[in-house]
Amino acid sequence: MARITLKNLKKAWLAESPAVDGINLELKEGELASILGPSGCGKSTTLLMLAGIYAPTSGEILFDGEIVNDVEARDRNVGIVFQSYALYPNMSVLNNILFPLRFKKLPKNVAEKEARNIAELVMIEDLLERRPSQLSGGQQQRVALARALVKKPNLLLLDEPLSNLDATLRLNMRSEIKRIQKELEVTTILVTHDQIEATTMADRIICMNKGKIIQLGSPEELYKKPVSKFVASFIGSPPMNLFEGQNDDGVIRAGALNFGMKGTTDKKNLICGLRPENINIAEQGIEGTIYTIEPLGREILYGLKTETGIIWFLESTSNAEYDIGNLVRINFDYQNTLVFDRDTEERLDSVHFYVE
Amino acid sequence: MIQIQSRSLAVTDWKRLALKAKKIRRLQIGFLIMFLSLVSLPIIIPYFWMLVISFSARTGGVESAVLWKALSILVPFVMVWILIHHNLKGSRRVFALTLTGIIAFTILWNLVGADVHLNNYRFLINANIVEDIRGPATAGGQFPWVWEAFVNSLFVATVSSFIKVLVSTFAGYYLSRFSFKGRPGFLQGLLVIDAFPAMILIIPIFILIYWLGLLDTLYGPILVISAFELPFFIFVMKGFFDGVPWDIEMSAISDGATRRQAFWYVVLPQVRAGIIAIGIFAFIKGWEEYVFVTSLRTGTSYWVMSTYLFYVAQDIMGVDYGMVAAVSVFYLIPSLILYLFFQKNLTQMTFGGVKG
Ligand SMILES: Nc1ncnc2c1ncn2[C@@H]1O[C@H](COP(=O)(O)OP(=O)(O)OP(=O)(O)O)[C@@H](O)[C@H]1O
Ligand SMILES: [Mg+2]
Repeated sequence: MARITLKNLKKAWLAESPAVDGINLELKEGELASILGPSGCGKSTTLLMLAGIYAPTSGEILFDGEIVNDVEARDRNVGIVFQSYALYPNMSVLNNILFPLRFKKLPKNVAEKEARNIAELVMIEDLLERRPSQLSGGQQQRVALARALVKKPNLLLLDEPLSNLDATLRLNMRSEIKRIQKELEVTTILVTHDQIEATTMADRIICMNKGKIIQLGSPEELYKKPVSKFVASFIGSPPMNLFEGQNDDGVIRAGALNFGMKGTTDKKNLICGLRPENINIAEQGIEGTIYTIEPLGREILYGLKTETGIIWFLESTSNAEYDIGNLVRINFDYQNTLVFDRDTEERLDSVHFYVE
Repeated sequence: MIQIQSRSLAVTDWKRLALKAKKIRRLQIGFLIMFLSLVSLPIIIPYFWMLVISFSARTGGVESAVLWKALSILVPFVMVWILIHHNLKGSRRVFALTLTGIIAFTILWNLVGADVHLNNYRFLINANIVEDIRGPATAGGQFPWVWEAFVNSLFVATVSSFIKVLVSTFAGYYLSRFSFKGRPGFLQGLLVIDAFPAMILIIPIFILIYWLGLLDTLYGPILVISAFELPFFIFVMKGFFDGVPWDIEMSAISDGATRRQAFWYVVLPQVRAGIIAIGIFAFIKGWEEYVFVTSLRTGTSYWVMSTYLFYVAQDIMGVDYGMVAAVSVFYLIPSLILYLFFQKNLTQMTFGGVKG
């Protein structure tokens, strides 16, 4: 239950390409932050530095304002749930949960009581005598969580804890972890590369790429005001439509289509971003033929073949349904559109586009 | 398409196909058992012969009539045993097996029972077997009681396997987990050393042991065989440690364990199978050691089982094949017990962590 600060944190195994490249971060007490990023961007490395298992190449890690760089991993009191769960196969579930308490010099009955309490919290109280190999993936995950929580950690680190679970279980564990985290008010970092996981669970999302923090903010901020094309395409499902355009004095020429431009920029090469959920069928707008249809339950994802290429859009199932080959028109509200500089891939603030 | 399917269904006689498959499977198993029996006979028969001779030879000459009589009962008996084992289940199987066992034993006893005696094993209770055989004032006196050689062999095997297990466990762990300058070279060196026959170094080793003052003691061969076999065992243990996931160790460390505690509580239990396996191999190697125990002694300063057997087989005893066989059987027993006891550990060498 600590406040965590990272100052210019860096880890470089190879000097030329650091795995973590200067991270600055401040986490409030009891906050659940999520690190989101593609594979190999340095998420696990960051966690392991926080836990004290890797030593940073440079930079500082602070717990409650105190530098802990030189504090041994075992003294940091950090709970980790690894992606592989890393349960001790030679011990029963109860002994797995008791393991961290073994080093706290607690009386045996007190330790066991605490272990049983935590087991109840994660609902594995019936499995305590089993071996890890006799558990399902979801149960193993709960044991790992219990083991991380039983020592009342300053900081809880979850490294892709849900990636091995099936869809329903994942949904369950998502709300479960959130409930437990709020109940214990433990500062938590959740690593994931599933953006839905990040947006549904986290108070704040840390979007990383190539060892750097690209954007840090609430899920809504990242969704509505992504700083770059990378963040925009990473957040949101189904992914955003992106198409290249040319700035021609206030007119964006994208393929054979022309869009009007709100706001001004002197950048020539642009990328237009448009989320599928912000597009509707309309009387006026871009014309195209339905190319693919993917029913998603309550909504249908259509691929519309237009003059700039395929544009994906979502329509509620209750609206009229279309068949492949149907001719339709789509339109959108300019406020929901995003425009990026094609060279830097940064978002151009207060520049939007609309159908003329 | 539907038509074709229904037509082919109509002409397929599933029962006949199933019957055919069953027949083929039976035939295959039959052939397999026959083949394996044939191949293993040349291996099993010498051992069996040794056993038979040790219990039946009277004149000192080789007794083969008993062997053939015993085989003529035992071979059919084993076949019937296998058949019963395959075709019957539950209490009927137990009953049938006991019955055939009793029948086979009765026939065997009537056929060869009169020839069986324990006289060849008198070396076990006779402290001075040489004088007993060749009269007083012969080579006796320097030739020990078998138990002395037995204890010496036990000492060599135990101490050398202890050294090998201890060193290879720590060295294997270090090589698996730590990177240091020259590690690849070290690993290659281990393999290269193992590729050279130890005998080429016999003279330098003799001189070295002489300088160390260990000539004519058991410590000489213990040290030498430990040193020569260590590279291989280190390599094997490294492989076992490589199979233990890093995550588990990291998890233990962040749970508050020191590196040593993590090794002891979490890593070591997972290479238990490996330690047992190399322990047994090392013990058997030490138990059967002949080359260095003979070349590092001058005269008859110490006796071990292999040298004892060798001298019994030499003409010192007037070549009493019955006794040679009996000593051989006695020599074999510890290895056999060890193997039977740890058979499970040797064949079920599973290791590594739990993955979800
Ligand atoms: N022990 C190590 N030695 C050298 N390089 C490493 C080591 N561990 C990680 N790396 C490198 O550091 C980079 C970041 O790795 P990291 O494990 O942090 O990625 P990640 O974001 O957790 O990815 P994933 O989502 O696949 O788990 C990768 O390029 C990886 O190759
Ligand atoms: Mg990772």
